[in-house]
Amino acid sequence: MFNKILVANRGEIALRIICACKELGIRAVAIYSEADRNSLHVRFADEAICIGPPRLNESYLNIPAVISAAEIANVDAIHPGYGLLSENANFAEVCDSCGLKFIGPPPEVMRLMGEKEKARATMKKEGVPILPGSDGIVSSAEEAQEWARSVGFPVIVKASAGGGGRGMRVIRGEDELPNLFHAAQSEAAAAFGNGDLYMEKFIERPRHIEFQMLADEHGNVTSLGERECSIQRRHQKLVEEAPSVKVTPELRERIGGILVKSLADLGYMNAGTVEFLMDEDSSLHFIEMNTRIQVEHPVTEVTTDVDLVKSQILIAAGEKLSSVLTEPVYFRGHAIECRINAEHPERFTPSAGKITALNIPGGTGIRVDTAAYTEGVIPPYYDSLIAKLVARGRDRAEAISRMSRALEMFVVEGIYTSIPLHQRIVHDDDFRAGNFDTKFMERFLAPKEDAAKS
Amino acid sequence: MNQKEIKELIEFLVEKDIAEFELERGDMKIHIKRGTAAHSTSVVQVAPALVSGATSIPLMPPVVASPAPVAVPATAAATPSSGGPEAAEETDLFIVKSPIVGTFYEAPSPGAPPFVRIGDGVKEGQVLCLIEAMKLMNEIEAEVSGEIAKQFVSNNTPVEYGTALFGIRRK
Repeated sequence: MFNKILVANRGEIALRIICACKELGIRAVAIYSEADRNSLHVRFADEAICIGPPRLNESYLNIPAVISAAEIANVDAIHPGYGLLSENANFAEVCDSCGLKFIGPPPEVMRLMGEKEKARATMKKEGVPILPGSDGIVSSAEEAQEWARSVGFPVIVKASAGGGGRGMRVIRGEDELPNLFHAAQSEAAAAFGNGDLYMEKFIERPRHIEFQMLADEHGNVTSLGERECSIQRRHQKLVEEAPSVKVTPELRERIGGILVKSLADLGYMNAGTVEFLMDEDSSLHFIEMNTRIQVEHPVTEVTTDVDLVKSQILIAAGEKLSSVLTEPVYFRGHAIECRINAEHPERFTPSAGKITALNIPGGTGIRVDTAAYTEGVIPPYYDSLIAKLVARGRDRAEAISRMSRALEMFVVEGIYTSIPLHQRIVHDDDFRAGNFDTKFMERFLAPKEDAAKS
Repeated sequence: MNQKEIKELIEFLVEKDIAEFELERGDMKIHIKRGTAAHSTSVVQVAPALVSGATSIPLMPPVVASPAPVAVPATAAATPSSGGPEAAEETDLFIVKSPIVGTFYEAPSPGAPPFVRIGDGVKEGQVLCLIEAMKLMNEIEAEVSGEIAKQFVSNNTPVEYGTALFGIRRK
């Protein structure tokens, strides 16, 4: 078992990892930028090392600084958390060559899953259902036209070399294809220096369904069921839940089984999440795999009683799945998570500053993962997530009523938060009925804007 | 010595207006140096226990209590990393701070004479020390010319980003 782990992250996830370390009797070493000097993850670590000025590139993303800290603290392993360096295969390789155990999958597997086209091709070979796609670069509008006709409109062109919406165009008919195709090419070339495009079938109103996977370093893999994350704004998740109202036990078992075999074939290790889009007829289509622990992992933890972060550490230390998961995974109850962000609930502008009053809700079925505290300052340099509020109930209705109650009792003063927005979401009829897709937030926010205009 | 004892010690020193205090007990060492009344800063330097060559730097933010076993409580004015820079009597001291995380070496190689000693004159750009990070030796240069008035870290100790290394009295 590891003696010391360096937590290569900040905020609530760094604290989460430190919790797991403490429970396992492992010393946790925190790293921090000057802006995070007074943060909670520094406070509760056994040791803490300042690695740079506030900017991410000079601190948390600065690989030499992180590795150097690991060396002087003499740690055995590094947990990268999510974001930051967690899916940086180069960083994982540097850890390997420095004799530091990287808590995650092997670099080659990380790299493979990190290249979207390769990941799609790999999973397709494994029999994982994927969204019909162009199988490579589409070099001309004519080729695009042909492909789109065979698969059926609407389709989407995407840049092969990058994401973030650039070089992306939804094409709904033959007439508009040539213009949109060329526009996407130019944009991709400008943004990434590479105008190559690939194409995919486009689902108008998809639901975002993802499967939590766990694999040990001995070839054993298991699925811990799905989460639904359709409530998103500009590709940022706002509310997640487990299970999904649209996933039947049969679908869960079938996809779970395919993924177990696929990940075993790939030599995947540690935690990972496989993301799908579900179309209107409830079939799932693979879009990508995240080779790390995810923000919304708590909804899986509270419905399966599996501590995913502890499991990650145990797996990396060489434990077999059978000793990590001492009994078959069961799913009980329903959990919902709200990502509380430090931003204005209507304008969505980030709200950095000092928290002057804080009441974190508790009571039955409530879990809060946060690094916020009274008098704590939310710095402007990092993302705006300040807390994850998780409500669990015996069924979805109870989970919703607990979430509603907990949101009401979650007091944060001194900064704006998304709490009022979350309250409106959980009171929405469509949300309560489980009637939504990834366009939900667009529709949810639109009427207000129209009303403001009129 | 736990946090409570250190706090009581500091209060005692303040009450008796003692400027400097040093105590060595076993492999624990405390050195407290107080500023003038105008600045009223107190700084605690504690040499961490060396265990098989590896040292740890437990650091604490000024606001909250510190973790066991070795504490570096700092006032709001002091940088928590190591002491010295707030020492008020040297207001025109230029503090050379570590730009990286690593291990501080005062000489070019073991056994060799140190790059600089207290009292030495240094020119801007002159190498003051090495910091080893990831098996690479980084030369740390003086950003100003002057005289080495203080050295805040001892040879072969870990330093973090921002740790005070030297105080240069500008001429």
